[in-house]
Amino acid sequence: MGGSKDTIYAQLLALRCRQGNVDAFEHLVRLWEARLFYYIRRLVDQEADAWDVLQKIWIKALRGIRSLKDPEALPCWLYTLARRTAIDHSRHAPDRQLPEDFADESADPASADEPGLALDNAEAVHRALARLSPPHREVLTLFFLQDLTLEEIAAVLDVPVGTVKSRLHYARRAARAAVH
Amino acid sequence: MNSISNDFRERLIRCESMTPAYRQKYEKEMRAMLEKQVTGVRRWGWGLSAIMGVGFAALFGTLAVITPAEFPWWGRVIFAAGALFGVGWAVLGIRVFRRGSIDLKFDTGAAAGMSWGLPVIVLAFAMVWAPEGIIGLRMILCGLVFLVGGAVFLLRHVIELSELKTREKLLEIEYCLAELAERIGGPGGKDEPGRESRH
Repeated sequence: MGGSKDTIYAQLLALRCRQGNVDAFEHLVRLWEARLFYYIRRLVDQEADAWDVLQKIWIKALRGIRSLKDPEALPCWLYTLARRTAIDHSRHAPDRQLPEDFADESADPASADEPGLALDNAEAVHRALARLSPPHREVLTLFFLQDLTLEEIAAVLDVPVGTVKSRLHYARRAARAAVH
Repeated sequence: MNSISNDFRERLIRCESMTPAYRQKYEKEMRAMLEKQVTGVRRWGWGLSAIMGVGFAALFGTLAVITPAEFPWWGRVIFAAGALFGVGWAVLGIRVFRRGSIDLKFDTGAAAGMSWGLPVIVLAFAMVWAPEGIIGLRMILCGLVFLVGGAVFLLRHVIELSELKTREKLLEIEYCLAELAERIGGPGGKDEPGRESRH
């Protein structure tokens, strides 16, 4: 229980979708498509591919939303679906790259909440994201889209929470360097 | 993360450039996604089902009216139900045939409802009101299989639906509270988005 109005609204829509309400599904699409598209664009090079991936995500979501038992898990479920769909898409296009797991950044950083990056400048952050390595870009994008907790980001990326913190630490540092 | 606001996310998302042509193509495909296209033989199949629906409606409707006075009333009810069923299928068939697509919002539910509804109604009437002479053991057993199967299916569906409805009502209350809190600027309002505080 608890959460912002938007979060509760999204949960309501998820619940209505489970009851087979197609109107609710359309609302869910409108509510989530922009941020999912933003996330996918950070994973997929070509814009046309990103739109294709987004459409595939909604097809999978329409088929699978009845299996979503807990509406609170909707953000995590959607981002996981988005990531897997983007990966599947890239498998059919071998010239495109997707984030790979890091093995060299497992050391626990001081904190994921390290201050410094100019968070008030969205355009600067947007430009900085483009200059990061794919794993850093992905974790920082999920962080800035702020739908997920660190634990949920870890679940989406299928890595331990420590790795998420580590990536966030380095990603923020790299982003700060890219901004300045 | 507390320092980041929802507004920042929106501004960040707005930084993403989109090609209108791709966007339009996506919108078009999304609309098509919620409608199942029926073409060729399948479309004509729906047209045929509409014609059959009209035929059955006319046949059963006529039978319900012109049967002799001594014909049992429950028989008339079954004929009338058959006529309604025919009208329903005719309307659905014409609708799908004209559009060339099945609307997932309405058509599938209507088709499923009619397919389940008529046999259950007819069978229930026949079992309750049919004279002793025509109620054989085989008919009872066959009827029971359908009725028990249908009842179990219906019961499970109703239980799941009530559970979902209860959760939906709770969420609606929670949403109203969050809206109220946002208006008065208290906890859960814009000043303190719940999701952000989780980071």
